[in-house]
Amino acid sequence: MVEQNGTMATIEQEEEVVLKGWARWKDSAGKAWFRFSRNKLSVVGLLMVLSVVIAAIFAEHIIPYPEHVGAFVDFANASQAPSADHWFGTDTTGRDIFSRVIFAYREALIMAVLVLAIAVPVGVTIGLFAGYKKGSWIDTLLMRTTDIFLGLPSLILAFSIAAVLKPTLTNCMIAVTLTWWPWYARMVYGIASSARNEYYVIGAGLIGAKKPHILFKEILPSCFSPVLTKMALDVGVVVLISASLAYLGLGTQPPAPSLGQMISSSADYMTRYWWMTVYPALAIVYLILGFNFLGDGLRDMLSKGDLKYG
Amino acid sequence: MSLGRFLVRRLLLSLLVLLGSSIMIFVIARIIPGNPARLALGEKATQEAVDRLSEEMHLNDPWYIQYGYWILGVFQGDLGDSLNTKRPVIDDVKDFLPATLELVLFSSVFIVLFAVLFGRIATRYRNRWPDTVIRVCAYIGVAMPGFVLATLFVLVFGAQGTSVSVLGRLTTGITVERVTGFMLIDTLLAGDLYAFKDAFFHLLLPALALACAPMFSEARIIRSAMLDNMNKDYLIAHKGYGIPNSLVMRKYLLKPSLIPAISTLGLDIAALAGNAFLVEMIFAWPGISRYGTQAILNKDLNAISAVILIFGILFIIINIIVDVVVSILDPRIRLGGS
Amino acid sequence: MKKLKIASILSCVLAVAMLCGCGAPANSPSSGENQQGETGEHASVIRTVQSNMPDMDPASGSDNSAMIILANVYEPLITLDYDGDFKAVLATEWTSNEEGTEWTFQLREGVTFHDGSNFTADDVVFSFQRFKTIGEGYAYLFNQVESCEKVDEYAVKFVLSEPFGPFLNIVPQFYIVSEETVLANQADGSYGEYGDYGKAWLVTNDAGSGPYMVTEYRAEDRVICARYDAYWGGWDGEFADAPEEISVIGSCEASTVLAQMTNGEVQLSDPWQSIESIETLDEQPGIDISIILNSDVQTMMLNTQKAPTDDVHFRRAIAHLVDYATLANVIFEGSSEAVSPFSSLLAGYTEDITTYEYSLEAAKEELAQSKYADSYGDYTVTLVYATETPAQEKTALLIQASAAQIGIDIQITGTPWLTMMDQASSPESTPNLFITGLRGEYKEIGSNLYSNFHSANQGTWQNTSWVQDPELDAMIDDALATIDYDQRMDKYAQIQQYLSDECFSIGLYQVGQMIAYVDYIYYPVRERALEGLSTTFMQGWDTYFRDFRVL
Repeated sequence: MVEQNGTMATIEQEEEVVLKGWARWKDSAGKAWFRFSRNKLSVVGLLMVLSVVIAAIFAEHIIPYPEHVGAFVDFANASQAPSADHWFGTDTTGRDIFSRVIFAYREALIMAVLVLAIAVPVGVTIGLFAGYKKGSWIDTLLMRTTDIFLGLPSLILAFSIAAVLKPTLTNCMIAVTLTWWPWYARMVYGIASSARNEYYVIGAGLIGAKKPHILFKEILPSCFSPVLTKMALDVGVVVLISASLAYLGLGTQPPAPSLGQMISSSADYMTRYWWMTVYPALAIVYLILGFNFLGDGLRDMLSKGDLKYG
Repeated sequence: MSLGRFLVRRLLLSLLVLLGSSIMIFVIARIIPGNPARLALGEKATQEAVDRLSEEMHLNDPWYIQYGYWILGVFQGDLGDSLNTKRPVIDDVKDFLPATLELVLFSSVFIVLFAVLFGRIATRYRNRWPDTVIRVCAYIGVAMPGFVLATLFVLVFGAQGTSVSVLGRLTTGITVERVTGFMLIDTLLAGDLYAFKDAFFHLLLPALALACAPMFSEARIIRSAMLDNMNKDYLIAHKGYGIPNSLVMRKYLLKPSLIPAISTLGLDIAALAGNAFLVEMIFAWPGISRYGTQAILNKDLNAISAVILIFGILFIIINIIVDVVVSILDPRIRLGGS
Repeated sequence: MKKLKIASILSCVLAVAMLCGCGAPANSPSSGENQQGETGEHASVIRTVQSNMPDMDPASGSDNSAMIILANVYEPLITLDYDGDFKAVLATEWTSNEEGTEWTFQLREGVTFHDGSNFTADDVVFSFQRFKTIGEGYAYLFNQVESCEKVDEYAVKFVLSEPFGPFLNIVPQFYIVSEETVLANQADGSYGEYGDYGKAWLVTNDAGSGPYMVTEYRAEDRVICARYDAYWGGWDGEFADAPEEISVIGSCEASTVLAQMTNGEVQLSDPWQSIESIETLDEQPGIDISIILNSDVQTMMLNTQKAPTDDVHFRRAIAHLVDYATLANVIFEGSSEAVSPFSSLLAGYTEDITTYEYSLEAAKEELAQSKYADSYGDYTVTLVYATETPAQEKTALLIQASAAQIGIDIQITGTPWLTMMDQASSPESTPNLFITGLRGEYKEIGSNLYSNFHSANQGTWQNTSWVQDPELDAMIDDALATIDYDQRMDKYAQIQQYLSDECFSIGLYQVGQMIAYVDYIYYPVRERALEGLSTTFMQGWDTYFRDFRVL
């Protein structure tokens, strides 16, 4: 295995000299795909995430009861157990849970992707700098600021934002993002302060590598794997957070469906109407599962060489 | 930098952090809608009553003067009165903080123990069924957050015809003299083993409900870090020297692999205290998290400030512990850097 | 791998311990037994849950939780019995002068407070002064009452600044404290010579004369009360089986209540459980459900200062969009249809007014007459409900769905109650449609008319129609000042007709209050309801535990 990795790295270097422009891009993309697709689960993950994305985009055309996600009530058919007509049963208002779950993927994806797209880069960059500059005033300033944000309860932050700004999905995401980035900063800080003492990092500094190179090309890759793992799980957590924000009047409002709200509002009668809690939860499990497999594949793709495991 | 100097430096800095977060909270809490005096007294209270309370609470002064009054009080050990319980906040904190700390510490034991255990199992049996089971549990743990599990536990173990009490800290009828506020310790001090057992079983379910999600996701993080380190040259070298696999696993693989996990683990544990409110509500657990949430919903300013101060201290202590533990695991990370 | 093994064993042990543990401590005898007074097989204890801890001070308590404690621990001069008639408690007789501005009460002799001190006119005078000065809770009802004077050792006189027709109806909301107890427990405070008026002490203790006395206050958990053995009414005969101990627990999570009720920890639930939770409770052996119409009317207030609900025809169109039958019979089973925001339990209530039936056609006709006939599609009508009452989402969805059918766009926002109260402070921030429960504070419709529609009470959550109508204010003032009962009722009826025409508010349904209780207790209002008799109107008095029996 070790030898194989070594050989591949040499081939890569040789080819990089030969290939230029488009051809080179095409080739490296091909190689990336090769690395990615070596693990079948990554491809499964990609397909799962794609299926969610497609479901989210074309929800209205896919779901059996499009009117059930809008202004609609049918109390005569409330709380029906799963059947051929309603695969996931109906909720206490008589709406088809399957249709609402599929439709809710739209809000879930937007929330998860946007929150993480802001929180992760911000948190990772701050953690990287502070970890690399461990002991300096930059470290102190950055990490103590992180501490202040960590101590803020998200509920109170969301409440204040709801009071000052309009309760839209965007503002809702601002509230979540503000409480999210410190977690990544803390995690990356730990890794970076350890990695800066690795020989390859010290070595890179000795041969005159510039700081951005050391930070992003040498230290950052060692953070990929835990960050990707955490991100994939966080997708699910962000989706659930929307339930507590909805309680404060922020974000998704009735009748629009939200996975988090479906779970939290039906938990009380879980033993009686299990389908109202279980199916939305399974929908989240499916989402995280897809992102996790995909994350594993991405990790293999980004970390050059290590193809040993998936 | 020695451990002693590091701690002094960090504690001094922590005071600054606390000051920063308390100012922030003071300002933010005042953005929450509603006049606190009016909310405390109800819609029907006469204007004179509202004015009197506003005057007592210095609500008519600008926020920095209010902050001055508050911080002066804090240094004298006076956190003001709660509008909700109508008692001094310090008494409320004394009553409710130990309950939450006991719960959080207990679930931290679960989290640490099982996260390391499952992380190692998942690495050892990667891509085989034990790994898959842990993976799926991690996802279900995230999709079924603490409060759903708590509800499920109460519905399954607490209801459905059983006559078992899983709610509160002790079965109604059992009384224990309060010394530390930690039930497990108080029952032992009283020498009442039956009550100790009762307190232990009351602690188990809520702690497990809280621990489930973080436990499995930490296991995932440990697994991915271990797999990363597995290919490090030094490990391959160790194996080459013929050092037993189990020793390599424990001494050279697990230790460095815990670093990313410990950073988030520390935060997870600190966050438990804040996130415990739903679990506390469902298990009728008289904790500070439930109290703090009620305070926010009622705009009980003194109580909000006090609870956030306490959570801030908790985060700071845990972060310091995390930094120390990380430096022990990887001696190259010197405390406080170069 | 040794550590791994140890850890696996440890985890197995923990798991087993957990499973066994859940069966263990239940049947063993508890070390600190406090179940006194066994009658038959059940302990003579009734514990009830409420949404919050009671505020036990009679000068500030006013919510359901507080009123349960007040009704059992303190006593008013008079109250209303289950039939709705005035009943003497600490007073024995009462008379007034012809103008209705002076009311004299003869007091009961031989009553002692829980600390053993004697009840006299001084206690009434002190209590009233304390009640008015503190000015919280129900004190606002006594705006017209200038003073309470001692006539002799066992008689007091209330002097009113102007005639107030429903005066006797508000007297039950005034509870008497022991002057001696309060003065003995005064702390520093802002009430001059009275310090804090005993407020801090009364948070955790009582100074009443009622049948039960507070024995323990556990912060944010529960209040425990025991029988007051020297209660003047006595405990013999029919009261011998009343509970020895009562508790009010300050939290009512659905799953928690289910567990507490099935394992015998709680005997009486709160009235706020969702239909789904009530169904689950009903399935448990030994638990029954009581459904009693209470005086709450779930109401939608329409903001008259904001387009498009500033137009009377538009408001009427909304009234035609509400499916009243589905609300009362399907969604909120056990409730009854409402024709106005007023409860049929209130004196002065009439159904002899213009009513709006559910009809999309009628709604369209009204819409055509409104000034928004051509432009209503441009408006988004805002509707809020409190997230603390999640069942109201169903109400909101029902109205939204029928509005959508005729092209009116309603935007629903679930909002925390705190924010809703804040929104209610100005007409600009008040949404078009505001869903809330309205309740009469005393058993006459004048109570609602004043709180919900008089411009003097604007800026509160009770008055979110923002009606600026001097004529209406004058009509309400005039009715309240009318001493003659029949004349006052006539005036109430006229005002109701006027309100209905203008459609400032829409009564959605009269709340059927559902409470789960264990079948071994005799629950008086439930038994009366089963016999078709009237039940109490007074908040808290449906849980007057001296009338309960533990069988």
